[in-house]
Amino acid sequence: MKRYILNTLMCGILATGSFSCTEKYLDINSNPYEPGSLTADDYALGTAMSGLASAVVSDDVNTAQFTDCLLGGTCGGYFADAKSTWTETISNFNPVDGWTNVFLASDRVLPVLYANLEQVKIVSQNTGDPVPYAIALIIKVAAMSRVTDAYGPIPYTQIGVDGKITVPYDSQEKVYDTFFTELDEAITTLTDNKDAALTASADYVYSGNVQQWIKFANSLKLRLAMRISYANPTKAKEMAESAVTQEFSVIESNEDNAAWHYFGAVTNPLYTAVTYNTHDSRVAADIICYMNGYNDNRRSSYFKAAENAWDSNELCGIRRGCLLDAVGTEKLQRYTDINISASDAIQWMNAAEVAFLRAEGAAVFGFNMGGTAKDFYEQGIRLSFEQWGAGGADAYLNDGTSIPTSYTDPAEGLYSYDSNLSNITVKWDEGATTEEKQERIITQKWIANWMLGNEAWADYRRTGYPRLMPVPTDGNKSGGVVDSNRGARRMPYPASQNTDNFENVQYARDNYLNGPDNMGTDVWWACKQQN
Amino acid sequence: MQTENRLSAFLSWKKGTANGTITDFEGNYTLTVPEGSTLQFSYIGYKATEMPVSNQSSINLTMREDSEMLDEVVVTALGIKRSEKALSYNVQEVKSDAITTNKDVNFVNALSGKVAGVNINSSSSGVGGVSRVVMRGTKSIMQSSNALYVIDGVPMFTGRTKAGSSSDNASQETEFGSRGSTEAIADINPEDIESISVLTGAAAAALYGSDAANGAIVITTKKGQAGKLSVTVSSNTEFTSPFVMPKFQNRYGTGINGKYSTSGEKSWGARLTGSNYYGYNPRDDYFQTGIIGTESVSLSTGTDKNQTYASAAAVNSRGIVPNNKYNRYNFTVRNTTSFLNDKMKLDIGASYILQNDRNMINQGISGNPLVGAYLFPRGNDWEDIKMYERYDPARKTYTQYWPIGSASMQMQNPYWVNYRNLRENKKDRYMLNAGLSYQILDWLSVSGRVRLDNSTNDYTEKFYASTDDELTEGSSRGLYNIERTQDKQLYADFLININKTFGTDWSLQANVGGSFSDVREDIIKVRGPIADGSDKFAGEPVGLTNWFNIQNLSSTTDRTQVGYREQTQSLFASAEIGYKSTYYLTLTGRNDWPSQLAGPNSTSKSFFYPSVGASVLLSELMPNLNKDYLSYLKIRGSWASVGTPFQRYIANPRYEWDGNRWNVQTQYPVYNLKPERTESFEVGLTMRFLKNFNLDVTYYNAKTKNQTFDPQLTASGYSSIYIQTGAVRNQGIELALNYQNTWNKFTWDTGFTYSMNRNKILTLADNAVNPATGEQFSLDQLDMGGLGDARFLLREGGTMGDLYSRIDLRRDDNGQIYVDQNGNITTATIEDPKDYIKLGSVLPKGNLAWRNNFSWNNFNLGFMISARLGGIVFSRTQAILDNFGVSETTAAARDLGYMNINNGDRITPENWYGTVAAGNAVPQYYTYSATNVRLQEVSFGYSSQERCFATFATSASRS
Repeated sequence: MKRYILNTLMCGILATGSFSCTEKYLDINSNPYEPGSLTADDYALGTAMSGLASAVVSDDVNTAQFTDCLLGGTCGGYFADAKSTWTETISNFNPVDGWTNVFLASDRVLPVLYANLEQVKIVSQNTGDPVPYAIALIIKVAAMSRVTDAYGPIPYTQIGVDGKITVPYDSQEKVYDTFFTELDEAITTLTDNKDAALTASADYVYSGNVQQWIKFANSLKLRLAMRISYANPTKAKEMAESAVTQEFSVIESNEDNAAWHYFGAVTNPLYTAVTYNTHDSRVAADIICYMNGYNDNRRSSYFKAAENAWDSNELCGIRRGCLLDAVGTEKLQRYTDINISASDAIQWMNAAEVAFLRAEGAAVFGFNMGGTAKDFYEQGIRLSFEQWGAGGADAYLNDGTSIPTSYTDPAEGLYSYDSNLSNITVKWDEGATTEEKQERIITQKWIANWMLGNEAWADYRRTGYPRLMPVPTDGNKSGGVVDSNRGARRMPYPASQNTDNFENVQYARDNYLNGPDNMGTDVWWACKQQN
Repeated sequence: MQTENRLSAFLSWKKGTANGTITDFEGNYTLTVPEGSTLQFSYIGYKATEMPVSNQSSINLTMREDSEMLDEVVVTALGIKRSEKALSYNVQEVKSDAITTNKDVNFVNALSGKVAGVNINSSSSGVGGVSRVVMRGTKSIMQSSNALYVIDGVPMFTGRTKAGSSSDNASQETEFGSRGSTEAIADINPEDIESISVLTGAAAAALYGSDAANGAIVITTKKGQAGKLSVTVSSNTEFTSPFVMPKFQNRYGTGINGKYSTSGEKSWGARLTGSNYYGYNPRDDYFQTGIIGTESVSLSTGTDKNQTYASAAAVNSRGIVPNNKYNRYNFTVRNTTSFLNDKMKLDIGASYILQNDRNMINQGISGNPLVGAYLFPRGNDWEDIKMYERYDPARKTYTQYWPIGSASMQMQNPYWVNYRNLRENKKDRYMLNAGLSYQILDWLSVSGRVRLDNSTNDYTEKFYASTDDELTEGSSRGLYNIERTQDKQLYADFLININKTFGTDWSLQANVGGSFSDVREDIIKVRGPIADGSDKFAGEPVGLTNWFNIQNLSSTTDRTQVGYREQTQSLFASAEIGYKSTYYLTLTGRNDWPSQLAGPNSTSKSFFYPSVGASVLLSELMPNLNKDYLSYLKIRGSWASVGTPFQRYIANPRYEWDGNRWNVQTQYPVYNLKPERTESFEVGLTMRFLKNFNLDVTYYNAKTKNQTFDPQLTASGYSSIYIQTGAVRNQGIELALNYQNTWNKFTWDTGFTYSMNRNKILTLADNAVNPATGEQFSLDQLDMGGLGDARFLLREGGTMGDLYSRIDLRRDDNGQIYVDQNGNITTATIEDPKDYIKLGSVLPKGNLAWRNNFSWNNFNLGFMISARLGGIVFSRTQAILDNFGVSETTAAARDLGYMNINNGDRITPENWYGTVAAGNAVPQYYTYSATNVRLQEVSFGYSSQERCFATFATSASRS
């Protein structure tokens, strides 16, 4: 120590005389706890791929909670908010900006996506291996499709490599066109390199298996094609058919499901979001009414009774949009819990969904999906039962009588819903109307897509199915902006866009958005004629 | 000025000899001397007086204080002592009494109101908390505007943190975190302080170069005094209690919509009756009287050659919140020795500080016991929750009792937070310093100093089993955090001093020197839950409940290592040229070589910071001046160009840890990092008139340019890019007027200070260049964050403190609040930023203070009144209190039964507060004027001075 002081002192005196001691300045000004290079063992590629994946559903608890519990979870009819002090929620149609701005404005979504995309691009360029960047493009579309579906027009084609959203907006149609172009580019590249593989440690989705990535890309393309089935049927047909006829086609077995297997030492953020804090979210009444009505064996995988359940034999969800403070903490804690594990993978897309997409394409829109609607529908149910380890799929498939139950609120009937939710049964009916077929398919798809709230919300807005309970009258705090029966149709743009990007966001409002910038305006693809 | 006290004095009966005596306590002396000798009387701080001896039997004399020595030397930057009349800038001196009469554990707070131009905001952390000291206005967008602290000439660098950030996450820290903290300057024992010079302006601090822009507080500590052994013992006990609190209600009980309930977090229930009225009141039922006990002892002794000062102090305090404490123990020794016929002086000192605190709480929600204490539902019984833990026979341990709920704010039993969510600091700090000076010639001396300041701080969090699981990261068995911070600062400098007169008219005081400073900080943090066997901790063995050490933590534990290092080498010089003791010109210059500039592509290595100033003593130019009317008149002016500390690492960015992995992108490295440069000038006037008045007025104007910030620009391949553009101007006035007079035994000493500052953003980015793309861009607005929908927006022409609301109640076409058929009102986001509602500026327009001291014999009475004029505050606390129905305003509204809006429409209080106070709150309904007048200090004392004098074995000689 003494020597150090002496040395530095000498150095100080010398330095001020001869300026010779600033040589070490670069060392001093190098943060000792941050690396200057990430190239060893392909760390940069691995961390970039993980970063990309985190832009779909973030591994950050707060981000994931907003996007997939409080927004997607509730709008999709899976989850209900469960904190008695929450009076300004998406379900009550009066959320604060911090609840609705996350998809676009969070620094955990777009900036993370684009920063890592750029890194992967550099890796691809430097190594001459186009595979990593092609995979990155697929993830980009998977992430950004969730963003545009939440707001409608978004900044997309003009976003720079930094992911900053202070740029002009695109119409949603243009965003979707770009998605298809990007997916096609990725599919072509990967198909050209179908025998290549990525380092397994760089890929927590498919452990580097390129062919599985192609199947996911085709499936995603099919999902997005069906999304625009009303807005642009021609394009939808072209895209949907090309997806299933591509060399590797779409996901057909649960082994090929797209999911982010990143959790263990890092806790699944949705686990944290729904279990901490005496459970911010619980199961919505809607899905339990359907699954109770169908006597669905997947319930034990999806739900678990609350510790202090109303009736330990009976699953019971919370009516979405109820006045939580009127129900009160004590009662809220008695409704059914979401069953999720801390090390569960985060699901992006599963084989059952793909089967239902094909069923709808064939039954409702007459697309050539490579099979019959009935087969795909039944395949979807079987795949989902298999995915969740549930038995009895055949009996379920053949149940032509069970219908969803009505809702009796155990909290003194406060938020009961006496009407029949729907008369739709499980068993396929080839003679049913197209509309009924669509309801049947979407209803089963919704059950199979458990926890993919944003996907369910998109289907609900596009098709009107499944039939969900309207928000109770006293729970609609939108001041007439949102129709209780139709629910939230989109999210308002982040307030920070007004401050940071006003001209562009205003242009989008005036030219791309079909109504005021609030939760009551439909996005471009939600244009099915009301029946 | 005459002194009435009889003092002991050295006498020597013949000039130049060592024979003499000292007087007794009464000043009496006896001495036999040859006739014709000359007696010399001397006493420290008084003018030596000679008296020829004839054959008198008694010689009585009155000694005069050496006013030149005491009054006119001021400690300036680097500890350089300069004549007050030569100063070309405002320096305000504060003597130790001013900070020890009404003590504050962090002495910085005691400066409030005593100097003009300084804005001190003490934190809510309680005793020993961090204080924000801003001189002459907020200057920097991203950097701290906090003043520099200097102890005995050596800067003390406190952790430099970003003042703000434009990202939402950073601004939310103010809302969610509640960890209070202390700061390095608060470790100083106020009793060790001899005096404080406050250098509010850049010119005054110019010799600190790249650290000078924010002004400096220059502290001179005590040395041993020659000639006597004096021991000062002081004991001080203070009691503290909450002063101004929100107005609470306790007549409406638990529940919502006016319905009686026994459960729930809100107090919007039915009006309570005699049988269920609890009368809960946080002031009486939760807060306690805080006690601060300060014991200190100091010792000063010495001969002419060798003086020693030693002190020890202990501060023990408990806060107004249960189980909050702050303790500090200071030990200081200092020795000053003269060698080589007094030509060489060695000054060495050492301090050791032990400090610990528990549960310092800042603003914020998470982990703050006040959330539960304020919001406790009024229909519930506080006595019931006072027993905050209950034995759980199933778990065989105590668990929290809190039937209320978390209110989405991790609200817990306040006592549980106090006693079972322990947040503690333990600090060990030592400072060693040595200074050596050598007087080569009578006009030339050299000196050198080294100061080492090292500290280790352990911050721990111990959250016991059954703490809110969001705080324990999901564990029901507890959470532990240990954060070890090591700070090391080494400073060394040398100085060549020239002090020479040429002929009778010219004088030169010059200094040339160099300095070296090296600051490093290393933090190791391990924070994690104790595995409890639940699903979250699947696959790992459980840990022991409530056992707080690292090996007991889950594998999901965060392990973090962060830190930094900065080094600066500097050369500096100053020269003060005087003519006829009337005209003075001062020039300073400093060149800094800071390590923060170093990067692989850096183009700049060092920066130069000059200043120039002049002063004229007009009173000297008026030979026939009646000194009774005007005794002293000086005008002065100065200009300086100085810096704000550089942000480290932005010239050499590396890959950051984002929580789970290394982020693949870095910031764009700034090739040509410039200092944030403040160019300022000031003019001032010092005047002493009508014998007892003293006036000091300064006007200043400071422009800070090259503001370094991240405007969210596009930069290929980089996460963010810093640019350096924009300018902020502060101009204002500092005024101090003092009056002191003595009538017989009665003395009145009074002082008035006033300061005003006007802050203006001149430009943000005007055709600035994006260094990555070369594109030009302009910015007319920058969102600096805020709280919810209250945002700090920087706009050209605005101030750094402008707060806007970007939300309003939804209105109809006539601008009336829209009420739907159910009687509900709703909020609406304002889309066009031009329509944002300006709430005002949080910056004060002016501060004034009036200080008084009356003394009569040994009694003294002092008080100080201070006022802050202008500015606004936004209170989310009040909004939350309203939303939960515990505020008096909501009770009054319920008593009335309705709220009047739109000049006649009535809506229910529930609807009103359920909208304007809920969520982020509608800020315009929670914005208040910050103008206030306060009686800041009152003191009454009786001092008895018992002096002990040592008799020196060998007599001292003076020549």
